[in-house]
Amino acid sequence: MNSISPASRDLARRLLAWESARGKNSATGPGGTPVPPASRVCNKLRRVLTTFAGIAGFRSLLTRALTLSTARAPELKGVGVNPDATLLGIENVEGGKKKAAAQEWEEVLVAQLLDLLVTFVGEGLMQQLVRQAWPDLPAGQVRSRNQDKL
Amino acid sequence: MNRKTTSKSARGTRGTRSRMPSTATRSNVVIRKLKTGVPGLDEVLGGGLPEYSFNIIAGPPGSGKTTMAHQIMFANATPEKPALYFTVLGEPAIKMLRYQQQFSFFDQAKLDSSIRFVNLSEMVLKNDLSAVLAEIIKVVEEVGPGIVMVDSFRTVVRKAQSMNGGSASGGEVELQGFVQSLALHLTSWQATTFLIGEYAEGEVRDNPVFTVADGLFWLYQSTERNSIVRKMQVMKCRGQETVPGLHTFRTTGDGLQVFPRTFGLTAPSDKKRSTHRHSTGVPELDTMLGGGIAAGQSVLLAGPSGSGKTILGNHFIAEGLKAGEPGVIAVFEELPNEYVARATKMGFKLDEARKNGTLEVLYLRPLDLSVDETVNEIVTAVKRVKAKRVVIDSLVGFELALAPGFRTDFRESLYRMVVALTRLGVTVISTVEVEEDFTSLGLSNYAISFLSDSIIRLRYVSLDGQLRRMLMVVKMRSGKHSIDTREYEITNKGVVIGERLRGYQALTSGIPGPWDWGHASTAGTVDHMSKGPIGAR
Repeated sequence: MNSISPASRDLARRLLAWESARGKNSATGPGGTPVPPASRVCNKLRRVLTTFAGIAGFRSLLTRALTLSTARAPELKGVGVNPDATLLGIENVEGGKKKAAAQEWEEVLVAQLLDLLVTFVGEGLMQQLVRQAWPDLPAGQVRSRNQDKL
Repeated sequence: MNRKTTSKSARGTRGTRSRMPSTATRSNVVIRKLKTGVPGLDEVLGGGLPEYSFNIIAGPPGSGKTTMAHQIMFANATPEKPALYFTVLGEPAIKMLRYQQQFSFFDQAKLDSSIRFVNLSEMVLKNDLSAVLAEIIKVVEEVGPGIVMVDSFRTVVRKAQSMNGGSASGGEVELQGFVQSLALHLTSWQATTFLIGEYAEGEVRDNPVFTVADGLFWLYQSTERNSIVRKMQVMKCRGQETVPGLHTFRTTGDGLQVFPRTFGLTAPSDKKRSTHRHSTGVPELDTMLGGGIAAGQSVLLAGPSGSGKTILGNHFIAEGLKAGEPGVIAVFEELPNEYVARATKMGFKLDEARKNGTLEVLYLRPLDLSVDETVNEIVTAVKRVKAKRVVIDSLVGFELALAPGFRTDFRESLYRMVVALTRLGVTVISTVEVEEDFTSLGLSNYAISFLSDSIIRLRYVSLDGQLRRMLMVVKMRSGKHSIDTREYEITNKGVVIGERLRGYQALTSGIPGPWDWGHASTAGTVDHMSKGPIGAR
């Protein structure tokens, strides 16, 4: 099982918390079910990434992140990726619609996706993409704690 | 190819022979030139890229097209005039960013506000060219870019062909229409545009894409034995005079660097008429040279292996350092530390000078160098240390360091190197190993003596059962020189020159014999014949 960097975990947690706080009353999925924060995080990244990487490019990254995450979070087994690079069936994951706060599997999935971005384009560019996707997020929330120490 | 355009403006500039009515005021449009960010390329382009031009960067895979495009983009993108980089079914954008980040020109901060990547792959796959054009126009109007790149444009060409049954000529009209509309629109929106594509050389003929383009930059990559040689050519650049021909380039961690063929030959010469003579560091040799080597001249030091060429070069550099004249030594056959250590053992304080920055010992990476690159390295070092003296040790090593294709033009290459250096006003000693035979006195194996203002020839000579060394000044353009053949020895303090060798005939053959004094009027001077080696006296 591959490891996820603590910095990505940390950032994933912050993004999920941000989305949880903002999505309590607004975001709903099919049939009015609440959309899990992880889905909203992935969608925001999708919007930014597909501009330059294309739908196919983001779809392959998300699929890879999902595959890697499933080994760590078996709840994700039933989740897939649609041709338009959105997550399929994430609302049905156990706990996904019961609790407003992000679940462990959500953190794993988002952290894995961020980790892949770091692997391919580096931490600096990943953070830029995150800033583009969440322009309102305070800059300190995007920087990793390691950077803050520097 | 640009003559028509430039000659007209040149006439106007000179103010003579203008065919314009005398009452008219000439106010030609001034085309601003953008810096490419690619060292050497601005010089090839005659100052930079014409602003608002529509260009093509073409070449085979791996030749450096995308890297060149990125260099240009990072050099010019600003928040006010951002760059738009459209990717089309070529290298995936994430991978491209991954690799391009490795170059020093890649400035992450610019990705925030000055550079925007847009993926058109799905658009090209699912739609016809008019939809692709509409999408490009939409984004251009939204962003207002100063630079637009489309990578790879070849994919768009293939799309046009596939729309017409896949034939090479298919879709030509559609493609031409697309390119023309694109060029028109992007120029109107004041963008300087680059289409990047993989093209083979033969495709340039009758290709509508190339017809529309204002600038055409072609990159080549070829394998010569075990060496890779990269060259580029500006095949077309409307509106300005470029340096014609093929220019070598190298890709390093800093991106592409182009080495113009005219490097060092076109800049104003620093060479001033000087009567100063540089001491060689060997007083007797200075005497033979009429007081030393004239400043700004080129000297060829020719001799067989072990004859002391390198040591004489060390004398020359060390003497300059003593006189406050910085130096550069270009070595090809051994590493600088080894070279300097050997010189230090003989008492030349080169190490100290290297540390204090008055001497640079350049090791020019062997096997696939181009001449232009070598010249560039040496000239840059000369300027860096403000050198007055340069030693190239040796020309044989230099030749071996070149990629095989460049060796065929070696004489021309040497000419360019020597001229570039002496134009800077530095005094150059080049050593060259000569294969010794005992029937003639060769000056070098390259027929390059015309390059040198002076030639000093070292050779072995068989005398009295000993292999001894002698030297002579064969040629000197700057004045009178000694015509003596003098014996010399290599001691632990360097080269020590002894007396003139008298009483022998055919000394220059290396196997002299005593004069047949029976035929000479100076019979009886045979006592001068053999004095034995210098050390033995």
